[in-house]
Amino acid sequence: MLKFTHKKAQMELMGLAIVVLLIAVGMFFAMKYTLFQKPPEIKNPYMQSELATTFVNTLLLASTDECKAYTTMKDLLGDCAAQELARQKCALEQKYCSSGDCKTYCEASDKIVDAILKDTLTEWGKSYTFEVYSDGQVGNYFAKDTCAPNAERGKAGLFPIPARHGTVNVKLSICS
Amino acid sequence: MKKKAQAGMFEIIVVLFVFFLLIGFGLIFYAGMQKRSSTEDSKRVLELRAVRVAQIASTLPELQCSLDNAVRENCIEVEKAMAAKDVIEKNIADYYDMFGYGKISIKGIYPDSSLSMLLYDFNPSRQTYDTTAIQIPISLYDSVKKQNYFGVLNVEVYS
Repeated sequence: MLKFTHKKAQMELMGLAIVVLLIAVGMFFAMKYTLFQKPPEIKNPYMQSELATTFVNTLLLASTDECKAYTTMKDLLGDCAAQELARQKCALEQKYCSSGDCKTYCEASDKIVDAILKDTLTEWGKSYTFEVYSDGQVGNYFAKDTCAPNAERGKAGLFPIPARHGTVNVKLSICS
Repeated sequence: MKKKAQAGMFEIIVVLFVFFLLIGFGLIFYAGMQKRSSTEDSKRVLELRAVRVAQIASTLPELQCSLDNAVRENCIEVEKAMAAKDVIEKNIADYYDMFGYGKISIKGIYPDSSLSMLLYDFNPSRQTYDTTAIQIPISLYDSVKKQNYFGVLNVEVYS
């Protein structure tokens, strides 16, 4: 009788211990899924979108001395598109020479944009996708992409430039 | 009978011990979470303050580009900035109300990367507890050469 009573007490104690353990595990999971839940991000996508828009706006207004004929990057990019179109139509290698350095308008634009991006977004540790393309055109005039393959792209800063043959689009997206 | 009572007491004590142990762990964990959350909140407030200061700086009439009284947004006139630098330095207390503890500067990127100007710097104790910086692309207009440079407005705020 005494043996059975001992076993009963032990079993009761074990049962209590198991209940307490289950409650502890349940509380742990509840805390993990409620307290660790991140609130929806609002500020960062907005900042990325603002940065992209401001960047492209400032870039297009920048004066360039790469080619004497041009005053702003907007003009240079517009003629990059026109030159590419003419090259595709006539299969001609059209280059201009400024101070002995011959290159196409697209190569000149690419070089300038690359230098600016290196001193700004790359130095600030930001990943981005930069494209210059025309509506209906297959492929870009030139593009840069430093985003990781699965990175989320913020809202793009998109600026259309009216050109002789159509619209040239300059687009920048910052990735998170 | 005695042994049964003793076993019962022991059982209750163990249960209470485990219970209070779990409560203790929970409190320590919660305190840690609260501390982390308040650090993140103060960081967020500092970032918002940096954005506010940057917006004020880029729209200051002392710096803003204008042509025939038409204001150009997101643009700082270089000659105005050179004059404003001295004005800000002489009236630093007035500008402190707008900018607080912090540093504001502009830097040219293309085509003139030598252009660099510190417009505002106020941190008298020279001790910073927390700092955050933001950079905003901005047009720097040279009204003499009639050229726009690609520049950056750097804003640092201290808490």
